[in-house]
Parts: sequence; C-alpha cells; structure tokens
Amino acid sequence: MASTTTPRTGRGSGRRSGNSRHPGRPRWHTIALLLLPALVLYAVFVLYPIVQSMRYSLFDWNGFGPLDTFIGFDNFARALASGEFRAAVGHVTFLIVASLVVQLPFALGLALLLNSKIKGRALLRTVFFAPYVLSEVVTGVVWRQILRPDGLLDQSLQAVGGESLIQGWLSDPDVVLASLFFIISWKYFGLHMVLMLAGLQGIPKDLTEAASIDGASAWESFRYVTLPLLGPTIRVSAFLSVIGSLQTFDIVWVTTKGGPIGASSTMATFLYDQFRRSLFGYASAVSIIIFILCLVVALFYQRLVLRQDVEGVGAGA
Amino acid sequence: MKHRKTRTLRMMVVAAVVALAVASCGSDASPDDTSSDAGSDTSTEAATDAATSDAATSEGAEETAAESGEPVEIDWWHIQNNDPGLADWQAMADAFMAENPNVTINITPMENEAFKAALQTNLQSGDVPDLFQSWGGGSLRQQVEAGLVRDITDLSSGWIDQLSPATTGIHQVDGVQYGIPYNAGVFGFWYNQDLWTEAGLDAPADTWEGLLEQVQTIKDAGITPIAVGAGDKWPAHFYYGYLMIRAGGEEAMNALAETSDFTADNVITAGEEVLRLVELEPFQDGFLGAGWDAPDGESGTMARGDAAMDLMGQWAPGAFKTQAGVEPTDDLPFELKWAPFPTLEGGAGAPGEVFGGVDGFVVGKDAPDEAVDFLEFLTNEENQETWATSSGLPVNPDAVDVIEDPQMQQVLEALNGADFLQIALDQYFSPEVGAAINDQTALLFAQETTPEEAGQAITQVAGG
Repeated sequence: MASTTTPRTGRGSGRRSGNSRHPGRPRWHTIALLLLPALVLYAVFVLYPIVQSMRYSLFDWNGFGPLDTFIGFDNFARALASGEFRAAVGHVTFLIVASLVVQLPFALGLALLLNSKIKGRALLRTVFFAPYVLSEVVTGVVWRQILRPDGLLDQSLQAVGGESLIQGWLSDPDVVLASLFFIISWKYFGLHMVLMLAGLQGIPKDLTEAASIDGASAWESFRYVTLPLLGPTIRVSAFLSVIGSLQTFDIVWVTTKGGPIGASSTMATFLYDQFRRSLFGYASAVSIIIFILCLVVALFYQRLVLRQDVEGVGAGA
Repeated sequence: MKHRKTRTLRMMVVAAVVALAVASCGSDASPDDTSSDAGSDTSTEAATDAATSDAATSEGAEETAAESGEPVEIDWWHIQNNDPGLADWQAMADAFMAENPNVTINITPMENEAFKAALQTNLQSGDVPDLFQSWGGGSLRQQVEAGLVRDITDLSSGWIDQLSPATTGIHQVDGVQYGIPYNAGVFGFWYNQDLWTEAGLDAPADTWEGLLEQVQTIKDAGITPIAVGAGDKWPAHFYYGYLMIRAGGEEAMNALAETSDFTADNVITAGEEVLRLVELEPFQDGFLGAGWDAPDGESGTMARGDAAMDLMGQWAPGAFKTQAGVEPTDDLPFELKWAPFPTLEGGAGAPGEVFGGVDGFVVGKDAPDEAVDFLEFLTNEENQETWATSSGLPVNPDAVDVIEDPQMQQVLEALNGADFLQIALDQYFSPEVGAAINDQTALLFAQETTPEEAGQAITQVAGG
C-alpha cells in the first residue's frame, strides 16, 4: 500500500519542482536521485510480483516444484470456463448492484436526516459510524455468532414469535449471500453516510433558500439543487462501493469461507482457495484476471463518471 | 473565495480516495498478497531457518558434527498448539536437548490452517523446516518430487521396526522413508450413549442398512441423530470415503489410486448411499455452514449433547472436552462411546479394511542427522506413552498398555487389527484432487449433485 502511493508523491514533487525550476540539466539528476528510493521500492514490491505472477500464470505449477510445465494460456481458459469462478463473479456483481441500489440510497437518506437539525444528531452520527471503525474480521466473527443456528437472531425471533422467519442465515445456500450483503452494508453504510454528510455540508445554504423562495417543494429542492451538487460525492461513494465489493474477502472468509457449497464465494476467496490447493500457476492466472477486471472497472469509472469531478487530477492513475 | 477553497479541497479528497482505491484494488489482485501475508508470520522462522541451513551446508560437516558435538539447530514445526500436546512436546524437546547439549531445538507450534499456509511459503522459498507435520500422501509426493525433503531410510533403519509397520508406510514414497509417524487412528462413530438410550437404542448397528434405520428411530425420538461439519467439508468426506472403502474394499481403493477414475462403481455406490443418508435429514441445523471444531460446529454440537453421534477420528473426545469446558482428564457430562463404521450389504469391503489418518513428521532437505535422532527419541516407548496418555494414539506398540480408556482401546484395536488402512482421501491424493473430493462431498450433502456427476467432476480434476 505504502509503496503504491509513494510514486504519486514522487510525481507530485516532480511537478512542483517543474514549476519553480531553473533551466538546466543538474535538476534532473536531483530529481532522479530523489525518485530512486521510491521507484526501487515500487519496482521490487509491486512491479516485480506482478511480472512474476504473469510468468507463473503460464505454467502448471504447484508452488515449489521446478517451473517447467509451460501450458500457455490454458490456466486462463480454465478459469474463464470454471463454473465456480463464474459463480464468484456473479456473487460479486450481486454485491456491487445491491450496494449501489440499496446501501447508497440508505446512506444518503440517513445523511439527509442527520444533516437536518434533530435531537441527538451528534450521538446518532457516532453510532452509525461506529461499525466502520471495527475491523472486518471482528465484524465477521461477531455476526457469525449472531447469525449462527440458534444464535442471537434466531433466539430473538423466537422470543417475539417469529419462528417462521428463521433461516439458515449463513448455512442456506439461497440465503447466505443476502446475509453477507447485510453484514457488509452494516459495516460500511456509516462511511458512506459520513461522506454524504460532508458533501451536504459543502452545499451553500443560500441555494436551497433561494429555491424555497422560488416556491420549490422539499422534493424539488432536493432533486434539482441538493442532488446535482452532491453528485461528486455520490460518484466517489459509488466508486468506493464498487471497488470494495470487487475486493470482498475478509468478512466472507471469516463468516462462511465462501460456503456453503461456494454459494457466497467472491473472486478473492476463490483465488485464495486455489492457492490453498497448491495451484500456484492457476491461481496466478486467476489473480491476473481479477487484476484486469478491477483495472478495467476502475479506469472506465474514472474516465466516464469521475472525469467531470477530477479533471486532470486522476487522469494518469 | 471560500467557495473555491472547499472545491479544491474536495477535489483533493476525491483524488486521494481514487488513488487509494485504485492502489488497493491493484494490490489486492496481486497474487503474492496471500503468500506474503502468511510469510510475515514466519519471517522470523525463515531467518532462523536460513541460519540452520547455513550451519548445515555440507553433509560431511554434519557427520563430524554429530561425533564432536558441534552445535546444531533443529527447527521443528508442529500443530499441537494447545495443551497438553504443546507442553508435552516442549518437555520432550527439552529432555532431548539436555541429553544432547550440542542440539538446539526451535519449536514453532501453529494452528493447523496457519501451519499449512506458512509451510507453503517456506517450501516455495526453499527454507524448509527441519521437521514438520505431514500426513503423507499426495502432498508428500509433491515435496519429494521438488527435492524438499530428506531421505532418512538409512538413518532410521536401525530403530524404525519398533513402530507399527502399517503406519510407517504412510511417510514413504516409492519405498523411500521421508518421515516418521507419531499418531494414528481410524475413524468411527463417537456416540452419546445417553441420547441413544433415550431413543430406545443400544449401540450403532454393524450394517449400514441397520444404521440408517437407527438414524430414523433417533430422529423420530426428537433427537438430532448426527452432527457434521459439512462447511469444513473434510468431516463430511469421512462418510463418502468410508462408503467407497465399504463398497469396493482394498482392491477398488488401490485401483482408484492408480487410475484416478472416480466414476468407478464403488465411488458411485458411495455417492448413492451418502444421498440416502442425507435424505433422512439427520444432521443438526445449519450443518452445511458448520465447521468441525467450533462452538457452532460439529464438536460444539456433540459437546452440548445436541446430537447423538458423529463420524470422526480419535481426536474427537479431546475436542469435545475443550468445547464443553471440561479438563482433559475429566469426563464429559454424558457417556461417550465409540463404534466402528458399519459394513455395506453387497459391498466388497470387509470390517478389517479401515479408513483413518496418520500424523507424522517429515525431515526437511537441509536437516541435520540429529533431527532423525530426535524423531527416534520422540517415538520411543516413554514419549509415546506420554503422547498416548494425553493426546492421541501411539504408533509404538510398546506404548499401548498405558491406554486405559476402553473407547480408545477399541479404536486402537481396530487400527492394529486392520488388514488395510486407507488414509483420509483429501490427504492421500494431491491437494487439488483432495479439494475436489471435499467439494463434491459438500455438494452431495447439499443434494446439489448426483453421484455420477460428483464422480465425473473429481475424475476431471484427477485426470483419470
């Protein structure tokens, strides 16, 4: 993580010195010298592993034998044909769509509520944000205990006469993905709420006031003033959701390990499973596919959606 | 002016967020992530490892080292991360070091799954621990083929006969000895006698048909007949695997190992019988998501007395006691008994053909000779008696008389009376094939596949 962000700092300083530079060559030596440590770290810890995994992905390799069974792109073909991998991609897609359709509007609604002057506003903000502070593993362990058969949720349902609603929350292949989406949303809605709140507070009051003077209803004022001005925040929030969903691993691994029968697998848990099976060549191929998928999604989103917000800033990322 | 400032600020936040997100996306997709995670746990171990292999670079130097008592280090990775095993093994290592002042034994106890991940990384980098846990089978074969483990045939030839021959064979590949067992057992039904009595039954039947009827009887009595951790998959595979043995016997199992053809009759029959069992709905709630050893898993369910039986190895009583919060030396709040797996009508398998597991230690490629001496010490009568008293079953026949628990005696009898021991299929075959067997078992337990499809899916991975 640190190593990936360093070059950005490096480039920043390059630009700054570009602004104030004197014409002449010696500057470049200094720049190169200053960039070198960061570049070396980046090369060793980011570029080299990526190149290596690309190499491994072309072999049938168990992780420690000689790297001598070259099979070309068979690993990639196998991954793309694999029902389990496709299922994992499907589950991730479900998480992305559900996050965008359910989690973000919910966070926005809460942000709107907590942006108005209601009692206990600060307390509520803290309470809603609190789950985000927990680590994913802690979240997973806690929810596994709550959702287990005859766990807290089942007992609570029983206590209020809701026996018929009891499900195999984490053990029924048809239910488990929804349960996981709930856990993920529980953890992350607070973050999105705070982002939206920050966005809302950046909207000058005079605009909504002007709208209401012009006779706009509350809905119209929200729809035509608040929402457009909140656009950048929503787009970033959505982007974080998408990226987060693409990477989902910890919570799933702790609660279900991608099971039962693979019904809650994500691309990352599928990948990890292949490493556990000593299929390093295949797993490398899978990781490259995931990498490309992430990259494509990230770049497209940046080019098409975020562009208007970050003109010129994120163009080279 | 103020407006503009917030906008710049917001743009900066957006940029930072985007950078972070893209960066983390990229790093998540990098394949070395998982291994470097595991690697960080063991980086200190790797350092000591490197030191050891430096100390023991030339074989010739070792020979003289053994004679002259030059200092050597042995890195020992085991998975007894809980007492009593943890303390017992520390004590044994201390005793060995006291006898051999030139030997230093560095012990790294790890939880089973963590051990597997860490070992994988170390094997990959060539930093092989001198002694590490192994179940033999397909994984050992891969390690042998990569030249990561040491041939100890000669070094152990003088004393290996003191161990039961059926178990020492597990750590052989093509007749060459690479490791030494310390623990062995066969799988069987651990049953809660109190619940069986409550259901009006005595003990598990010795035929599969009879057992299925009993399962129905127990269910009719309002008791959950069977606890199974199908979420961990391997506990469920005990049924699938044992039924394969019962259906086809030794001959069919050997054929399976040779041809990797899991569409063979005994595999299909086993799948059908698993489905017959599953259709009775005999398992605890949420069994598809349950693990083996967890409060909401198989061991926890048995420990609470919420299920009448489970199919497990000789480590089960210990796990039940841990889950029930009972000291290892005390009794469970219910009477726990053991019964062998029943025979299958029309199946070629005999009662003497058993399904079990053998734990052992294999010797890393750079290990000093003293590592093998230590294995001899570890499996001598006295130390195996300690092991048999507190943790498991001995592979040294001289140590069996310390086993007083009648249930354990039964397990031991089944093991020693066995004509054929098939070790757990997920350990016997390569990790990939083992995982495929486990996956298909889970699908069978979820009734999401047919016996034929399951067999074909495994065959496809096994390349038969």
